[in-house]
Amino acid sequence: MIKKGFICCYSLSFLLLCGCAEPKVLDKVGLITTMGFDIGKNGSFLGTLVGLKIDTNSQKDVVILDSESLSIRGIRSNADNQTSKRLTSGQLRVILYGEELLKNGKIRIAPILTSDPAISDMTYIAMVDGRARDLLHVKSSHIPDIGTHIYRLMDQNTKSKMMPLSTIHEVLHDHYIIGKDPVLPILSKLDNNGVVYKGVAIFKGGKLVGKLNTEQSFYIMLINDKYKSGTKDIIIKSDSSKLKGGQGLTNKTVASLDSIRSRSNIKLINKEKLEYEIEIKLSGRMLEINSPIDIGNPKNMKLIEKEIKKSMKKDIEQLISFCQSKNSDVFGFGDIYRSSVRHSNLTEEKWYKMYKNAKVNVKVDFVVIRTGLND
Amino acid sequence: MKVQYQPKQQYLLNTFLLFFIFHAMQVGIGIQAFERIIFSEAKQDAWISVVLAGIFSHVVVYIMIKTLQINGTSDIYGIQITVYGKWIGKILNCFFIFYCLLAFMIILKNYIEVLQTWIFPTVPTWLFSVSILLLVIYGFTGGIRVIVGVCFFSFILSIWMLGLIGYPLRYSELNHLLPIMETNIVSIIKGTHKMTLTIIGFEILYVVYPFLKEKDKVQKFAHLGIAATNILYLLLMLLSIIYFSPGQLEKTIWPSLTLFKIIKLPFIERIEYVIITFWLLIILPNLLLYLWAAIQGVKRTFGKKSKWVLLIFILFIFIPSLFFNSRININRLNHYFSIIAFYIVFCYPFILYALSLIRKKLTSTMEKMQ
Amino acid sequence: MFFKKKKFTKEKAEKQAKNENLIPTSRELMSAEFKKRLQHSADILENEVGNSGITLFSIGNLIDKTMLHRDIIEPIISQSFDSIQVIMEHLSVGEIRKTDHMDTVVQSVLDGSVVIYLEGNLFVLLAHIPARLGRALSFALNESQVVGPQVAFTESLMINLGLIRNYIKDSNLSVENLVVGSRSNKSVAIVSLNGIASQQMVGIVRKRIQNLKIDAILDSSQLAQLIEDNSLTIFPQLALTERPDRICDWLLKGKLAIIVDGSSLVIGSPQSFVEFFQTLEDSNVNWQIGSFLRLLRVSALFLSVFFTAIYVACLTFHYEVIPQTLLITLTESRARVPFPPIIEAFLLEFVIELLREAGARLPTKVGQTMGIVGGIVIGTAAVQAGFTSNILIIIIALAALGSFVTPSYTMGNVIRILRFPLIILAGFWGFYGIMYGFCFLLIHLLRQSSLGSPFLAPFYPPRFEDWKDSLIRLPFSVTYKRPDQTRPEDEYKYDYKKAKDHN
Repeated sequence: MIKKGFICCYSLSFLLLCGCAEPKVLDKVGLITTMGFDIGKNGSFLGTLVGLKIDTNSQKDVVILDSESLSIRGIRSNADNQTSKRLTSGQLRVILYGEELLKNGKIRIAPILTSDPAISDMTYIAMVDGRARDLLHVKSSHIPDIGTHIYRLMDQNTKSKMMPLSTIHEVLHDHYIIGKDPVLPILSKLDNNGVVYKGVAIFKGGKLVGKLNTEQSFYIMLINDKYKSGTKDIIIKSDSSKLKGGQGLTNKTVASLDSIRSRSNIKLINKEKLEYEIEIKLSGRMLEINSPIDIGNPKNMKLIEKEIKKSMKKDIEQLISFCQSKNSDVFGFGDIYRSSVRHSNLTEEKWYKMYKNAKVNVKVDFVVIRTGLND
Repeated sequence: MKVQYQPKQQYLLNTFLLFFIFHAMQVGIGIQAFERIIFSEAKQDAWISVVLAGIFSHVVVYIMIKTLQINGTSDIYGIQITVYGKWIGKILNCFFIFYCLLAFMIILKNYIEVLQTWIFPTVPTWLFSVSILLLVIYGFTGGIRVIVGVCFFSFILSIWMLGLIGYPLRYSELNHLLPIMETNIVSIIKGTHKMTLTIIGFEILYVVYPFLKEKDKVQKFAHLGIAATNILYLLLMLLSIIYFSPGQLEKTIWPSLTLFKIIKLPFIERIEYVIITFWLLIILPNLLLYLWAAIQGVKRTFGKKSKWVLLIFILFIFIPSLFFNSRININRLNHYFSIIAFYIVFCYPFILYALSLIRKKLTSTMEKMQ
Repeated sequence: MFFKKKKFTKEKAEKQAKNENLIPTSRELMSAEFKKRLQHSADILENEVGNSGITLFSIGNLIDKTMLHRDIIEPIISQSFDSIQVIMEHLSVGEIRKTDHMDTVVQSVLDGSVVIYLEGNLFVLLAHIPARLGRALSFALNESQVVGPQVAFTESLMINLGLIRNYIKDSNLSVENLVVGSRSNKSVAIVSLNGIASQQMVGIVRKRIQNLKIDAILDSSQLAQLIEDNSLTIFPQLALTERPDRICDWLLKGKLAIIVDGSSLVIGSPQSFVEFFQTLEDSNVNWQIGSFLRLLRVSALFLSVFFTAIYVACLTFHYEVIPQTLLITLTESRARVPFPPIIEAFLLEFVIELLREAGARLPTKVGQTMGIVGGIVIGTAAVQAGFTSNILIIIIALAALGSFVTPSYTMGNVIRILRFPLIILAGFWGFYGIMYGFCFLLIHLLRQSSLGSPFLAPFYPPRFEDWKDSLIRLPFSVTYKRPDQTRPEDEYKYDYKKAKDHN
């Protein structure tokens, strides 16, 4: 019995000594938090890697490495030549693509990255207006660490539903499904060296075909997602005299909605002629409206609701026709077609042909639940 | 050798433990990857294949228990000797022993591959192989009660993983399931066939049966165990279909593990790293019971001491486990094994049942005539 | 012929032995024999009582002198006797017996008896008047608890038995006396409740104690190690306690208590793993609070065993799992540490163990100061010097705290030791190593047993009835059964159906 124990002990310690796994000690590796990709000369990639800033108090700059390579993975190994710590992508939070690269449309956006098990499925992907490298080289006193800053910016905006969720998983999910195209948020460099969320990029296949502003991206999320809380200013385009704006600085009528809850449903109502119906149910608090209307009056309230519905409907219809003109199916109409028509045998090409001529009816239902503390 | 086999009182197990034995045996390495394989055959109706395979496994287990009941307290090694006679019986026993060892190796190899792909790409195979085999030897020498204990704890201690299913569910789209029954029947049946590697494990009943205390409750707990596993498989299949998009699912090698990649807890991110290492506890009962079944077979067929047999078997597993390291080779190995397993687990029980029924009829008429 | 001769010599030898064993008839011979047998020790007491012809032999410091004078010498000093039987009638000592064996005489003298010798008699009287060596009853210091009795066992077997009898006034309480050690000759008592305790287990314990071949045991903790099922494992399989109420609780559950004379710790057996994390206080407070305390202790166990190992594994291999918010703090504190995490963790664990050991060896007050000052000074200095990261200090302190929560000192030690192999495994194989260690421990625990009953009871083999009083404690109205682990002869504590009607 004792002998057996000794044999076990010996073999275990032998194993331990011979077979130590390759360590990646936290402070010996360079943690990349953000990667930016641009198109380079002669078909190469320009990569910009941002490391984690460890000492938040020091004035030292964040490690930003520029490298060039023919493959995406090669960028990292080329960058290794410039650092004292071996670079690892296990803490990668954000991947940025330059506009030119996506316009090119020849690269598959996310698939290349997911075969590396170290990269999390929750990594955000975004597009940069201009070059990713320029954005990552932004220097500003209120941004100590550009990588972390962009991550927090995206995280915050995604959680408050200002930005569409564009994690690797989501993008891959939409990329690999026939009849739906991914969207990516657009980040842009501010003049005074800041980062701003500017809108949403829409794709056809893997190719950038258009950009939407934040107003429009709100509607994309309204249709694709379920809202539990959100904020939005709605510009009411109304002819009603009661709703004349002009109390504020602008002469547009603006209603500010808050705690928006929504539910949307897309139905295929005509399979042959390809006709869809989008039904959106929306409710929220209205905290502010810049018109002299008495919101304590239920009649006026009805009017406001009606007008908001109307302007929303108009906006959504515009958005859809814009997407159709760009041939980008961001709402997943194709997937709905596939799931409601048996033996559709949908292919990408077939769908894009059909999509252009699809008719979409929009129904918006909006209720103001309360108006905050004032009546 | 004696055909009837009555283990000593202290080795007997409560019959309800069969629930845990079945669950622990079925859930092993197949569960990590089955969604993709079934999906590539049956598309969004893959869940129907899973249900069908589940129903079929219930039928097979029913037949297995009937076979065992005809033959009194005996195991497959005894039954084969009675049915086929001494020589053919012994050869078939060897086949079953070999099958158990092969299953052992498949599980070991697949798990090591997962470990190497996800976490430790540079650690050599032999290291994992030796370390796991040492653990298996230690558990095996504890006897059947310890082995079943590992089954039990492997079930109890891994329940928490079910709670994590809620996370991917948030990002799921029910649309992917529609339209139901679009795939043709042949593809669905093909998918069912592909479930073999995932669903096997209940053939251990053939060996463990004499060790169960109350024989009349075997049906109940066997079916409960299989039902629990089937529900788990169905859940995972449905979840994978609605979480992944079709193209994505076809490209993901281990969907069940990738499902967990989305989870982010406040104190720990990338929970799949924890889960993959935790999987050691889930495959441990598989390894222990298959090895035990093989060694039990040698003991019953040839009456050899288990100590040397254990060493030989361990070497027999260890040396081949060093080869077949590439994904393609492992896939090929899995493929061949699933063919063997299909015939042994899903087809053979019917033959054995028919033969032992005929034999019984014959002997009873012979007795009557005498 | 040959046989006859052999038989003859055997008989002769026996006779001779018998002669040697007999009480000598003359006083001088008796005195000489007595002294010879006790190695002419200086503490031998020999007094002739007046002119009654009686001589008293004893070891001076083992007997109660006042009793000797009041109860033995005074009644007989002024009289003369011709028979030993008459003397016996005159004495008022409670425990007195007659013997004609010299061996018995010496043995009981060592146990605190006085030999009353009357010249010319073949028998002597042995009056048991032991001196009270030892202390009075005191507080239970090592297993203190807020709610419940405060008394602890002492070193005297008799007092300890009395304490138990005080709690359980049941005629079924059986005490079986055995003697252990060829030199120490310790009295060992197996206490059990007849009709509840499994006689098979009493048999196992009796057999194990009787079969012991050892010269001396000095404490019950040594006896516990000797009669354990598997002495190679690090886990204790028998529990030691200094609380009589705890022992009585165990006795009522059908367990056995083993009391060793001269030891203030009593062995309770059989014992399961989870019971090392229970105290009687859990039953004394409300069941919700009791359950909470038990869960707290078990989580402390996991924290204590795995926390440092997880830190090492995360920092060495799995930096991916660290959340972003924690990442910056961790890297910042690790940035100046020159060692790999495994060495860093070992260094600090070593310091903590040193402090603990130093605290235990020093007098109480100095020890406490030492612990606090040492902890703060060394901890702060180590961080400032860049030897360790301050997060590791928090983790190690938490882990140490966790090991102190365990009510059983023996199990607490095990938990402290278990950390080290796990840290090594984590440092070499990361999470896989931790899981490997966990699986090994699981199999190891599954293989253990305590007096033949499984160590992981009631979890495995699963006895769902007993889960009610394991990791949690449900109210008494639900826990009407005795645990299956002790295989009690009477399974029910009370008739729960009747109790339901009346309460």
